[in-house]
Amino acid sequence: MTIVNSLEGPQVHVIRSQTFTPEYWATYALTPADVDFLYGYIVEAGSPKHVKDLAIALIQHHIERERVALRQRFSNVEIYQPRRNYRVGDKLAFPALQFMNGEVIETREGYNPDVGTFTVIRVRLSDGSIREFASNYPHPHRLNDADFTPLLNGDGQLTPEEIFEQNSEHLTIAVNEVLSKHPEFLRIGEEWFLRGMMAEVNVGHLNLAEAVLDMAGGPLPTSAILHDLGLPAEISSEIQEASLNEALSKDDRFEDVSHNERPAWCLRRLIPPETLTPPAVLRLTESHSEVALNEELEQWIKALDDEWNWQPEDETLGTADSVTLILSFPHRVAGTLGWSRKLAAVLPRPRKPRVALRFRDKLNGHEIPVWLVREGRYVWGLGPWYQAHDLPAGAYIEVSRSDEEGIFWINAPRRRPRREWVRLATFRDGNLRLETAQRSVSCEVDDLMSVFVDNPQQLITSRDGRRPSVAQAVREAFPEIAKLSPQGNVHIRTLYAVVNVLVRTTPRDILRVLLNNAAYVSVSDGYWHSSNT
Amino acid sequence: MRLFRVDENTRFHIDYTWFEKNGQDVNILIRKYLSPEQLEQYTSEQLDETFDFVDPDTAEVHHITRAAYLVRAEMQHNPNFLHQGLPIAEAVFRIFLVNNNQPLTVAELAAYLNRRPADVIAQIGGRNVYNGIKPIRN
Repeated sequence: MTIVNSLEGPQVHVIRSQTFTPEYWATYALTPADVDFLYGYIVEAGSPKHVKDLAIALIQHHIERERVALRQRFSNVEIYQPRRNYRVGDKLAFPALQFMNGEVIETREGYNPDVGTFTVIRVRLSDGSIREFASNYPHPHRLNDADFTPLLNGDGQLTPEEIFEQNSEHLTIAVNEVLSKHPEFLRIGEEWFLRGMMAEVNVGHLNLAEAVLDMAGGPLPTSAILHDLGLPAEISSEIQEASLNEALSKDDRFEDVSHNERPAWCLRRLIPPETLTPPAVLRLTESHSEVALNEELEQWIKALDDEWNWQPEDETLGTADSVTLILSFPHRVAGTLGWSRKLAAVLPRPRKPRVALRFRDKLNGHEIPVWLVREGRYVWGLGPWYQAHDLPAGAYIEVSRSDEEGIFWINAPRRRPRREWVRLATFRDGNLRLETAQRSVSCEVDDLMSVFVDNPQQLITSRDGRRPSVAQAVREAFPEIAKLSPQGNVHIRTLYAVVNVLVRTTPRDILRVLLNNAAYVSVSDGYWHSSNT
Repeated sequence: MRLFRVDENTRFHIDYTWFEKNGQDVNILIRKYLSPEQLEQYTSEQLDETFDFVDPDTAEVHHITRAAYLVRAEMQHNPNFLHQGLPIAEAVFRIFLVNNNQPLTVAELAAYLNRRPADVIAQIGGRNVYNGIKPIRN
């Protein structure tokens, strides 16, 4: 047992036991006794326990155990302090020697003209050595000022919750790793339970669950499914839920699509196919070029906020209450929104393949069921909403959090409809054509990124399955954009928007194409010029 | 004598009996570390007077001379007393003077001196003993 001394404040020297220190837990490895304790803890709780609760319970257990041990250890000995008077035969514990025990075997008068009178006690320590210490020593000394009460009763020390917060990453991994090696423990999401305590969920129950979900037509929480299953009433609802969750997770007919840790189950056959396989128009074409980009170009890439320009595993990504996005042509056609860095700051970042969410139209309050598809990095289900609001590629879309969990506001800022000159894309003779034409515009659009297409689906069809390379698409789009500008310059944002009418690709790959071809020259402020136009 | 292999974990201290065995007076040596002001302030008798020094950390009592006490109390924070320019053996001797001769391993001494353990062993781990600095044999 190690006891840590630390100086807190100018006067009081507080003695802590080691289990109260975050340092002790920073590298702690669980023992078989800890596993036994956690087993008993779950049995006593009678319900699945979150890994955080288990870790905190374990810390509490260690603290209690050490406190009892310390009380026993100090029950027959006195904690040595120089100011006290000791006699031969007294048994002492020495704080400065890791609380080593010793017995006073002799006393004599101390001699130090600078200090005055005091006593010297000769002590035989438990390691066999004989050393001398001061007693009846009333002068200032760190051991005279020490406060030993927290050591024995825990007053003023860190709580188990505070200790956990300071070591949450290590302790979470440590508990999960150890329990996963013991088959009697069962992991359900971030919770742990015991296999032996699970309720029996048989094939009949699962078939019934399928029927319930079939009737619902969409995701349901476990508690709602249980309602119709009739598991034995003497089993607590928590155990029933844990048992059903475990059984459903092992059956391919069901999928957990909740955006949080409380499962919501959906029949896999009722999940929209567009969330199982990404729509063809979102299939990425890459340039496979390895040209290095400078800081300025990286900034343009970041500003364009393409969903393939971030990593969902990025833990450093912050959160936001609201974001404004620009709808791109492929997402307009697919009825999706890119799950980009910006959007991910507002929406949940689940580890499940797909989760069900609800968007609520800020204009009329209508709810739109949508699916966030992690691997494909898109939110599906917005096609009818785009159609209803007549949104072109380049429209601004605002997404913000609501007060209700799993529901997010969506809005496309409106303006009075009027006919405006816009950039119109058509497909003629197998080639993209851009022209300026008058169209009715009833929403706010980004001037550089708007691309109006009279019939998006027809344009996709007229591409006739042609999938040009990124370089071909840039070669095709660049002169079409340039011809609409008096200087013949093309902004990278416009190029990104128009190239994506031809082929789904990222701003990084478009910039690589520009850098790879000497005909393209960066003019300034995101504009490029081509010697071929 | 049995061969004794010194390594990083070998603990050293000052063996004060070494001075007697070699006909030296450790008190005269310790006085060399006092400042002219300290030597002027106390008589020779006062400096050799022994008394009970109470350790400020542990309250352990050490029976030492006033000269040793003055070195310990007033020199341990003096940058001119322990500095990088000292030969390793001398620096080690001074460390033990100010730490109540608490044994330290080669690794601990090396860390304190910001030197390699091998350098420390080369200087104090050989046959020649400097000012009583000797390994503690278990």
